Amino acid sequence: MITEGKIGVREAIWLVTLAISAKMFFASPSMLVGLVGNTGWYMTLISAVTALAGFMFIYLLLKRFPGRDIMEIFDITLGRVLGFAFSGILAIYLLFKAVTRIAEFNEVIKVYVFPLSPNWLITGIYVICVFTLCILGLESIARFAKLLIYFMLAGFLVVLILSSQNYNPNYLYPILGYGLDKTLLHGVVRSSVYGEVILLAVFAQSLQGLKHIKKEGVIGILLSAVLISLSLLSYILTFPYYTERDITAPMYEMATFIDYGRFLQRVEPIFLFVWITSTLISSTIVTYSFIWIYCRIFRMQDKKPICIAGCILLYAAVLMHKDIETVLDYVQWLRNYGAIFVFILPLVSLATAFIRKKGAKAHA
Amino acid sequence: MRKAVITLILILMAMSLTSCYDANEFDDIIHVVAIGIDKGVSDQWRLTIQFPTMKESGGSEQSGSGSGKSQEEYTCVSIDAPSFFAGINMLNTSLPRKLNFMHAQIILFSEELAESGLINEYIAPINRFREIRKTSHVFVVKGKAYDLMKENKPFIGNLLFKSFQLLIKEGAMTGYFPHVTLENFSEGLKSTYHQPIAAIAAVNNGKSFIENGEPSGTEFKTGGEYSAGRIPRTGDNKIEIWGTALFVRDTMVGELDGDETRYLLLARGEFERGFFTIQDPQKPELVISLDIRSSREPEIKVTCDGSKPIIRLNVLLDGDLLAVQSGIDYEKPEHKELLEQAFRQIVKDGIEKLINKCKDLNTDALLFGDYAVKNFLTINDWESYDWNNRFKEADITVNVEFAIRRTGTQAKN
Amino acid sequence: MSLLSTVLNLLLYKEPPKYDRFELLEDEPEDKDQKENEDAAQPITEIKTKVKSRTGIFKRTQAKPEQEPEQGQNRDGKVTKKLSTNLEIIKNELNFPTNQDVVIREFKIMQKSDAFIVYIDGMVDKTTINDYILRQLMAPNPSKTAGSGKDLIDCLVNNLLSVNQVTRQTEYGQIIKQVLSGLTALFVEDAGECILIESRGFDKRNVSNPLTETIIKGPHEAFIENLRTNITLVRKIIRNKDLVTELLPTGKTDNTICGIMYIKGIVNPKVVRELKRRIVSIDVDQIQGDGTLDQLIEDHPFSLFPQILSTERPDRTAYFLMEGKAAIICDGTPYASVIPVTFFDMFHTSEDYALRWQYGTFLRIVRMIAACIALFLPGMYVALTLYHHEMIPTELLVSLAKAREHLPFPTIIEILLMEISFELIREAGIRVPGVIGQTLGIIGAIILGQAAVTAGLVSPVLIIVISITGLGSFAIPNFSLAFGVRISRFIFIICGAIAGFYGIAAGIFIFGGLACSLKSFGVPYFSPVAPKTTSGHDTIVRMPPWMQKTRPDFINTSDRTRMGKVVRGWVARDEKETDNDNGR
Repeated sequence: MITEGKIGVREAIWLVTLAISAKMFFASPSMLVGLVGNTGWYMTLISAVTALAGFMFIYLLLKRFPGRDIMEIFDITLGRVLGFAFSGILAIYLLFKAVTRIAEFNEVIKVYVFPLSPNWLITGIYVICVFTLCILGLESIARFAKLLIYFMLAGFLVVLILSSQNYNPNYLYPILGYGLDKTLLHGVVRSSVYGEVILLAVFAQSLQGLKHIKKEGVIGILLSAVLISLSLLSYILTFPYYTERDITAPMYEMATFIDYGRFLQRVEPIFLFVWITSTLISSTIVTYSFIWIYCRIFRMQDKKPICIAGCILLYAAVLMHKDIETVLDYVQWLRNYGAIFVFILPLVSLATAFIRKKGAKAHA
Repeated sequence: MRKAVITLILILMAMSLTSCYDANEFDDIIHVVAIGIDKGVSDQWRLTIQFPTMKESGGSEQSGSGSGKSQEEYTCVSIDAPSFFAGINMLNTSLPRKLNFMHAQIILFSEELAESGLINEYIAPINRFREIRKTSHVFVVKGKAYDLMKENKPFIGNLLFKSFQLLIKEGAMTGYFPHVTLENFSEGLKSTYHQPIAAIAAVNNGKSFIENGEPSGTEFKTGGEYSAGRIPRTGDNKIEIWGTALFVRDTMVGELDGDETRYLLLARGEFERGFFTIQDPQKPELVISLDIRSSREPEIKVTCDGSKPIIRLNVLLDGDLLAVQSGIDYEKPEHKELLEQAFRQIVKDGIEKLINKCKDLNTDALLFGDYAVKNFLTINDWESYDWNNRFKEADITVNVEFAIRRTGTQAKN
Repeated sequence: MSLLSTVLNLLLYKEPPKYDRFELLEDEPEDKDQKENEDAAQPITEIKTKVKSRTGIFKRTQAKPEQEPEQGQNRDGKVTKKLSTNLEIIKNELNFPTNQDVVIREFKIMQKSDAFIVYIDGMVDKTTINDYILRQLMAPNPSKTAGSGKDLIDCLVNNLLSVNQVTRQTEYGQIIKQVLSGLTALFVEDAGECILIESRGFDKRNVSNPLTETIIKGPHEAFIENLRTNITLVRKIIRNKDLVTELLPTGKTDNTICGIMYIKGIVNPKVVRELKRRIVSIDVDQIQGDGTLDQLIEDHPFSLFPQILSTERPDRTAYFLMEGKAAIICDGTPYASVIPVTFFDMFHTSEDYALRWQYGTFLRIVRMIAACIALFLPGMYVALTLYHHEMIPTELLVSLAKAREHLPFPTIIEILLMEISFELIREAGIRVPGVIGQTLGIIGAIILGQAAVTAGLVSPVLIIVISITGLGSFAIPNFSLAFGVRISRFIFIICGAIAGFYGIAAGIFIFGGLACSLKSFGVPYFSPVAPKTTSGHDTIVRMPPWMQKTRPDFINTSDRTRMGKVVRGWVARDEKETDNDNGR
């Protein structure tokens, strides 16, 4: 067993929240507007409720096997081979998620800030950051997330507040967007937006116990729902639906609109810090969870060499996409089908556990 | 640990050896101040850009160069090109530095371009270009953008950036031209809610200012009914921003003078403050000046139940008394009421006239659509209603509320 | 061949060496109770009882006096008749012989009656003890033969002890307190009371003003090179019997002695055990004082951040000790090293506590800003001028661009040139002797900067940037941290030059991650912020003193509270309310 430190409740909450809500900075909000119009801000609440339901299954699963993480539970319930496959699928899903996140970041930052810098440089710097923190381990990542969250929240709120000069409440209408049915459907399908909550199950052994995991998961999802909803709300208040669906990164664009006289304008590079660090944290923890699962399923004692290999893999995979459209397609795909990996796999495992009467004696 | 450290150091060193791709020193680039776009003669576009020449107006160099001539701080170049970006590259063959548009605050389209309905074709590349900020200001130029840019010089201080910014800020204090950014404008081009507008900029060559002639009669003028470029004034600064260009989609269909612009802004809720001059209701040959502020956002209610939309507009204004030529004591409640009534009527008439003009032009520049949308539940319903074409059928009632709050430094006349 | 092996060494996988990393785990409150109920760790229970029976100046009203078994016959805390019992109690109370400050001298009065004196070394004037106590008592004096017990005491006080102030005392609490403040206690066989003899004599001669930690409000004393004096300086502030000094020899050849100070009953015994383990395990010829020792015992030698706080102020050391930390004082250096410390401790000065809390908080925020400026400003400047021109106000941009017209170097060279020359001035200023050094620093900076601008080498704005950066790094109160910041600054300049704000953000990310992984004697470096623990209202914002009820949670002190329930008795009602707010 690799020794992995313990992380506290607050660190876990913020880590999950950051991992979930960092996607708001990129292209997914505008994709969302293309799908459901101006109703994204409450659609995401529907997603959050769905994700909460999904998380409850994960929690039930963990509760049946106290003190074990999801990889072990997969092994116990489904047998070594199938359990291995399930954990492997989860790991690959997480890696893919990290890859798309970085590729998305890469493309957006190239569009807005560094049009001439080559991909390899931007991604290279990024992967070095991810690598360093992966080497340092979960404890450091969680602590650092906790340390940064103050600055990130402050930066995020400042953008929202400063942008209020451009808010037009009439853009919220028509209130149902492209129709309630669409909103509901996409809300449920896109519950995978909150899929990073699975990290709690992956790192279950490093958390303070089952009771806390439940708390962390619920609060994490709710907090990020609030953050995502707030940001989507401010986007739609700033941009009417017919322009927002065309924008690459609404958050950045919104920050460029901040204009309070001759001094306080053109301030968006300052907010780059917020976006870059929060994206870094979120993709680091996702990458790390991949490395972690990988080490666990192959029963490896030392994660360092896997960190090196994993980051090289990450680097290569990020550079592989053809253009920004492909990346956005990947992201879209992940949002639509992510729920299968995050919520269905544990559900299957839970069902099997019931059938095979494994786990917690009290329940069986 | 040591391996990791060594690897990191190696990578860092390798990275620092790479040239910095997006790095530009200050002296590598020129920051463009203004962009002017006309229809070209030799090609599609005639692109005019203005930028500082970076010549020292003081500082360390003064001892060296003994020329002593006052050099132009800003200069313009124009080019006919097939596209905006081709133009930039073509210009860069003669300009020794890279053009950067991050600090461009003014985008000028010629009237000719706007009226031919080509704005969309011309604004799309600008809209997509990351360097041009969406907060830059869009103007329609009477005549050619090229001509106006030649006259665009700082005449207070020596920074063009600053003087333009302040001029635009001043617009909010007069209400004679709207504050339209590139974002507002290009959003309006796509909008299902309303139609875009733009401020008009023009060169005033001073011809309207007749130095010696018959003195003006007693005919009343509000001061706002001139059109852009025709204000009777003279002086060094030839450029004026005055009035509004009305669009239907990407075609400019009409023009509002100063007064109409004020009423437009009142209805849009963008009017902040301005001095109004009206005829004295009791002595029509004399005038009264009022300092008008909008006390709240206008209340707009739109119902789309019947065959045609019904709109109720309620404009809420506050005012101070600035000058009373006649000496009538308008401070007294009964007189004050009279004055308020008169002003309400004037504003109401003005707005109704403006609405009729907009209806005739079939352009919802007054943002009624923003409120009409509240009657619809889904985007599909709204889009099939086609507001922008239904606006002309609308039944609009205007109500103005106005109260004089203060009477200036003289409580009694 | 060696090159090949180096390369192979770099590439090949090797099992990482296993070593235990000391961690101070956060005990859950319920866990703690459990542990105490069970027999658990021996020292903890021992300390617990100690705390409860405290009779010293730290005794609190609500602490229930609990009887210790070995003091059964001594129910009322009075001096007994039997000398050996007295000796036993005194040894016990003063932690003799662990606490090597305590001196107990046994002798016979007039070669007859058994007696002993006890005093704290360094706190007393040895001449008094030698000439006026011991000589008088030990001399055979047949003319004044008295009986024993009470009579003997009377006789001693009245006839023999030629010292200005002598009192008789029976209460142990009082005796211990007096002994700790420098008096000598004389116990006589069969007396049932003790004589307290005035013999105070602190070593004050060498103590001078602090050099690196000057403050305006507060004591102006600094440690000196004498270990004994240094310990006394601390002991003078904390007059408590539980303040323990343990002396450990460190250097194998030069036998440098280093003192570990801590307050038994407050400090976490695990920390002391770990500290001793580390110090004892060191096998070097020579320890050149604190600086060397710190490097030998710190957790992460490769980090740029200091993990041990070094201070030259006894009052600050005392404050840390009271907070539940331990201090190491090496013989021969005028510094005390404090462990465990956090990042935020580096921004505190002893003045913060002397000032009202609003002012203290303001100062801390100023220091934080200073550190940020010193760390990031040059890097930000590079990033701004190279990558993010849109951030610069247009007016400034034009003047900057005009200024750059005649400059030959790229910005990065310019800033490195100036930063290095600034460091040169700084270093030279310290090395140049005496008065010249001070002036050299200021004059050098001004003249060099001015000349560089006039010569058209650098832009004037850059000089401003460099100067503000310099100021910022001077405002960091901790010397080691200031060094870390000065070095990191260059890294951030390079980061900014590579990829603008993105590079700096990446730099912050890596730096921050590394810093978050640090631990100082098991305490995470960024506690109490990350990980979040209750801090006792003394992190960045320092709340009013009466609100700082708890010691920092992350040290896991044996005694968590530092105040009673009602701190300010005169506003008792208020206090109870805030108490409830704190949930205690």
